[in-house]
Amino acid sequence: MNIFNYVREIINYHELVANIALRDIKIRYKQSVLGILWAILQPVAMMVVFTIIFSYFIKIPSDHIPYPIFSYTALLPWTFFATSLSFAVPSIISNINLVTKIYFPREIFPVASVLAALFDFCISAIIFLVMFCFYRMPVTVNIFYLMPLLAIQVIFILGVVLFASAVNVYYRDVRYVMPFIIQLWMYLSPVIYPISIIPGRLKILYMLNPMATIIDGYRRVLLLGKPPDLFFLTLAGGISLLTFVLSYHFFKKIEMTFADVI
Amino acid sequence: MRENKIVQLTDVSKMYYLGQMGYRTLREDLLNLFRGRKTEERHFWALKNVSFDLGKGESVGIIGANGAGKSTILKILAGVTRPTSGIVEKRGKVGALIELTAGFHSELTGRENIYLYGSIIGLRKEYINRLFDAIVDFSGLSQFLDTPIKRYSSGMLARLGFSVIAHLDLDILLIDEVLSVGDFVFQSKCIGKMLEYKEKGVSIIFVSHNTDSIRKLCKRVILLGNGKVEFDGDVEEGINKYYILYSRAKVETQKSVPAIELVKKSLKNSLGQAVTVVETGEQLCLELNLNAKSELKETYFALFIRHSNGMIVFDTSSDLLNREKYDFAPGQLISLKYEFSANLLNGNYLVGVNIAGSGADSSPEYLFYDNNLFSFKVIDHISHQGIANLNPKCLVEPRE
Repeated sequence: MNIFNYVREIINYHELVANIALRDIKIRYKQSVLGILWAILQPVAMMVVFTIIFSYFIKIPSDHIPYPIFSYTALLPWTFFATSLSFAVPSIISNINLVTKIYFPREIFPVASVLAALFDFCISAIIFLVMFCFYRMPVTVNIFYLMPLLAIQVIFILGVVLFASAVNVYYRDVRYVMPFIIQLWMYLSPVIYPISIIPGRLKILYMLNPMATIIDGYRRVLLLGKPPDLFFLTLAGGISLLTFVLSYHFFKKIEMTFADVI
Repeated sequence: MRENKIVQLTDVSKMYYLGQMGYRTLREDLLNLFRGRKTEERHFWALKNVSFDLGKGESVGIIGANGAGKSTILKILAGVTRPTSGIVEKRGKVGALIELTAGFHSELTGRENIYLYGSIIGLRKEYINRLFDAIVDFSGLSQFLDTPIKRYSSGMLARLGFSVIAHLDLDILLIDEVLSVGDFVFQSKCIGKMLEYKEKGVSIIFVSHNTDSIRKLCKRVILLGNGKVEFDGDVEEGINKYYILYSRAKVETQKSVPAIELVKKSLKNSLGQAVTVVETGEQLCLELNLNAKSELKETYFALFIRHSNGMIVFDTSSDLLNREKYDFAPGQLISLKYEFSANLLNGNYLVGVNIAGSGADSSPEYLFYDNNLFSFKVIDHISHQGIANLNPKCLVEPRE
C-alpha cells in the first residue's frame, strides 16, 4: 500500500475522524467555567507576559512591529503545534479500549487530535483579527500565502505526531519527554524574537526547522505585507512532506502490533 | 474458502512475546543495547493451530476458562491483531459488539454518544439519522437522551450501546461478554434481537461465560483450552466438557498430597445399575470408597449437585443431615453413601463432593474436592420449564 491509499482510506473514514475530533473538543471544554475561552486564554496570556518581559524589561527587536501583535502572530501557529503534539502523542494509548477491540485505521486518533487543535487555532485567531484591526495592519495580496503556510504546517504537524504517537505506544517515555521537547523547540523557533537576529552563517541550519519558516512566513504575510521567503518555504514544504511520508509509512508498518503491545 | 462458508480459520496460531506484552521503557532497551544483549524473548502461544469455519447464518458460542484464547480469537476476527501464522478468511462485513462502554465518553450526552459510537462501529451519519428514533425506542432511554452518560447506571449504558449495535447492517457479528449487564427484561430483548439477526442470515460468534445465553443462541459451541480447540460440536456436550475441564483444573491446584484418596466411586439407580441418564424423580445412590491417608478429625462430607450452567441446584452436608462429625485413624477405609432423588428437570447435572475436617488449629480444612465425580442427564417427559421438579398436580373442575 502506498501513501495515497492510506490517505484515501482516512478520507473514507472522515465521519469517524470528525466525530472523534468533536468528542475531543467537547470533552475538553465541558464542565469548565471558561469553556471555549481556554483556547484563547493560553496564547493571550503568553502574549501579555512576553510583551511585558520582552518589550519593557528586555528590549527584544521586533522588526518595528508592535510587540503584542508581533508575538501573538507567532504564538498562534506555535500553540497550534504544541497543542497538537500534547494531545496527539498520548491519543492512541488513551483510546486503549477501542484499539484492542475494534479495527479502524489507528491514525484516526492523532489526526483527530490535530483537528481539535486546529479548532482551537481558529478560535484564538478571532483575537488576532481584533488586534489586526486595532493596529491597522496592511492587507495585501500576499495574504493568500496563508493557505500554503497553513497547509505546510498541518502536513508537518501530522508527520511529527504520527511518528511520536506510534513510538509512544512502545515507549511511554515519549509522553514524559514531550513537554521538554516542545519547550526547547519553542526557543529554537522565532516566537519571542524575530528571525533577523539569527546570524547569516547559522540561518540555513536554523531554517531546517519548518516551524521557523512557517512562523516567519505568518509574520511576513500578515504584519509586513510581504511574501514569505520562497526558497525557505519550498525547503520547509519539502521537509514537511518527507517527514509526513516517512512517519506515515512507519506508523502503518507497526500499526497492527498496537493491540498486542499497548 | 468453501462456497457456503463465511468465516474460515486454518491453523491459526498467535504468539505473544512476554516482554512485548506490555510497553517497554526506553531505558531498559538502551541498557540492553549497551550490554549487547537482546531482551529475553520469553513467549507463549495464545492460540495454537486453531481451525474452524462458520456457515452463513450459523452461530457458534466460544467458551473456555480465562486465558484459553477466547478474546485473542475475537481480536483476530475483528482485525485488531494479526495471527502469527495461519490463514483467516472472512466474507462480508464484520461487526463487533464490544464492551459496550468502550466507545462511549462519559462527559457526552446519550444523543452525542449514539453518533460517536455509531461511527466507531462503522455507521454513516445519514444512516444513524434515519434510524435514530428506532435506536432510542429500543433503548427506552428517550427521556435521558440529553443527559451526560456519566449519570447513567451501568444497565442504562448497556442498553444504549446495544441499541446502536442492534441496528447494524452486517454479515458477521462478534459478541464479547456483553449480556452480563442490563436487567432481565433488557437481556431477553438482546437475545431476541440477536435471534432476529440470525434469522436474517447473519453469522454470530458469541464469547461468553454465561452458558445459558450461549444455549439460547447457539446449537454449536467451540471449547478452547490453553489456546487449542478442545471440542467443536453440540452445545450441550461442549458445555458439559467445559465443566469437566474446569473442575480438573481446580483439583490440580489442590495440595499435592491429598489427605483422602478416592478408591472407588459409583452412581447407581434403585436397581443397582450404573446410570448416566435418569428419569426425573428417580432415586439415586452415590457411593464412594475412600482411604484416609492421615489422621482425620471432625470430618464431614458435603454433596452438591450443579446444573451444567454452573448453578448449584442442591448442596448438603453430613453434619447437617446426621448432626455428627467423624474421626478416622490413618489408613482407615471409609465408605460414603449418599442417597437422593433426582427431582430435577431436563438438563445435565454434575455431582460433586467436598470433604472437610478440622485442621491443626481447629479451623476447617478442605481434604478433598471434586465438583465433577459424575454427570448425569435428566429426562422429564412432560418438559416442564425450570430446574426443580416439584411434582405438581393440577385439578380443574367445573363448579356449581
